[in-house]
Amino acid sequence: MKLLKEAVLGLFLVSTAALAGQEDVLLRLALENAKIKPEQAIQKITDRYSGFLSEFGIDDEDGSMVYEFTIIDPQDSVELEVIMDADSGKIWLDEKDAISSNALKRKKYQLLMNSGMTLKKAVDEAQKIVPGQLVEAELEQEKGIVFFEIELLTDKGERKVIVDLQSGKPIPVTR
Amino acid sequence: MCSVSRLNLLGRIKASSLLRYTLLHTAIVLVLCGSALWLVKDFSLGFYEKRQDQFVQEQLNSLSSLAKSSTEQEFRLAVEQLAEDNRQVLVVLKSSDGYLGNLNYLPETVPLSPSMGSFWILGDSVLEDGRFQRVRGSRINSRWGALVLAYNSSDFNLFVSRFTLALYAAMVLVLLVGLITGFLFSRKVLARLNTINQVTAQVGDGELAARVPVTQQGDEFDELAGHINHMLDQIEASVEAIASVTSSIAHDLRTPLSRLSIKLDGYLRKGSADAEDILGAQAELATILHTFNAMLELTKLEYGQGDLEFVQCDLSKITSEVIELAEPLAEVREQTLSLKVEQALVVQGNHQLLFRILFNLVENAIKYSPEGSEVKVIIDQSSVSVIDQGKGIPEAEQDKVFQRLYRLDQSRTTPGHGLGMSLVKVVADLHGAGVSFVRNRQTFTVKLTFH
Repeated sequence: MKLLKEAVLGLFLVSTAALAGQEDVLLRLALENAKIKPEQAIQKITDRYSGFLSEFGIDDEDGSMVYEFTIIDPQDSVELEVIMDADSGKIWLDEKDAISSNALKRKKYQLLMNSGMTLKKAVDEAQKIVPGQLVEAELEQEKGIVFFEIELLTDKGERKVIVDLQSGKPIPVTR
Repeated sequence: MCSVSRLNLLGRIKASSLLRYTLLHTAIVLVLCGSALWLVKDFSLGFYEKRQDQFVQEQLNSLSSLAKSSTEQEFRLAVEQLAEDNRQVLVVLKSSDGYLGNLNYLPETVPLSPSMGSFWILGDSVLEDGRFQRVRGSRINSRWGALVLAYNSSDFNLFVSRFTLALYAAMVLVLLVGLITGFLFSRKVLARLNTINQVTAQVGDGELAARVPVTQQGDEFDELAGHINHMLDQIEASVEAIASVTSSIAHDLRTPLSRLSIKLDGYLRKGSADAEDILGAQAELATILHTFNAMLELTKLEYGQGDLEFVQCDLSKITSEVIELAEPLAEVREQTLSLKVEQALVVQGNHQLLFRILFNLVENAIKYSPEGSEVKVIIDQSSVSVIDQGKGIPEAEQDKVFQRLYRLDQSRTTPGHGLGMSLVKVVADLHGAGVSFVRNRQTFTVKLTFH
């Protein structure tokens, strides 16, 4: 890790990539070095848990990169927060919250469970229009639209793609 | 009787016109205001929307012709340029190697030009809840790829939402103001109806003296109040007249009846009654029956019961018959009785009734004028006047003498029934004639005028 940081510092000092922001560069390097890529991690989680994946994120835990997942499990009426180590692939449960049956009836969760659209498919759609590395994906609802807000890391920095659950298609984002 | 006050409060509110009028008034105001605001919205916003559609079509037309005449590189540059230069334009070109323009995706649902369709975009709005915007656009399929162009109406959408909010606020305001003014107006109108209601209820409960207050406005309510008050005056007068007639009947019948009773008591004590006694009792009964018959007859005449034969009647002829019959009465009082016919008077009428009222008038003249005086009857082209030298009827009582059983002599000791003048009045009315009184220094005239 120490080596990585030195390398980053060196890059930061000389590279034009500094224009895209230090965070992006760090993240790109971290992702390149990770043994398990985000897409693989999603596949593992989907295989292991029976619920619906509603969130994906990348975080730093004690100096090592981890993936964070939120899973909605309507059968047990719970929301699970699961963490996976990007290097070892070790998975552990971080939090387990009950979801009331009323909350599960909300449009957001109903579409997640019944539209046939999954976080994985949404990411595929997003990468079709913006080629980039998955950094974050989150289930949201605004103005009656239920969508995955997906952040992709491209050569030009982070890009946002919105995928509508109802149609399964992206919603154009201004740039 | 089902009184309104016995219903419960809710029932009263429902039954009251106040609520209905208030709601009706509010509804009318609301519809008017709503239509006006809708027109404003349609003309202003609708017009602006059409302009936006026009703008989109114009831009697409020029891009379409540019695509035909330019290379792919030139066209892509033009699209990039348009996206950068114009904040109002949202444009996206789906080229072989990705999406170009200021949107990152080309929504496939947008219809081909010249049709317009709306779709969601995620914009960069200053407002938290304004991230998603609905925009209108259209599509062309150029040889360098499909292209969608839309009008970036986030400012306009913000304006529309504010405008709509203002519209709803205005409607709520109108609703409130409408309700309040409607309520106040209806209450004012109905308050006046209520006073009329209360008065009529009072009268219904027997307070005949109650009257509806009349304001200075002179409107329909005052007119109604006036009519009601007039009606109540009439009813009160009728009720008083009935009361007076009832007491008069009681009085007039009590005297002969008590005399009869005393007489019959006397016969019982005596143990026998001779023919003279019985005749005396019969005379009392005759008086009573006569009074009843006279009253029944008056009622019949007044309400047009029974068939009356109307023929041509020569009043001078009838009057001379009357004078012939009354002559003996005048002689007893040493009075002179004369008839002067200035002009013959022939009217359509009932001979018998006319004879009776003329006899009544002459008989009264003889009865109430001093001994040795003169009673004259004068006939002219339209009237018959009976002139005597008695003290006549005081002006204050001239209206009352026509009432049943009314007697000028309050002690009711002078012989008579108090029905003579009533008959005169009723018969005169039947013949369309008027009765008037004229007081001169020495004479008193009762005049029957035929029209």
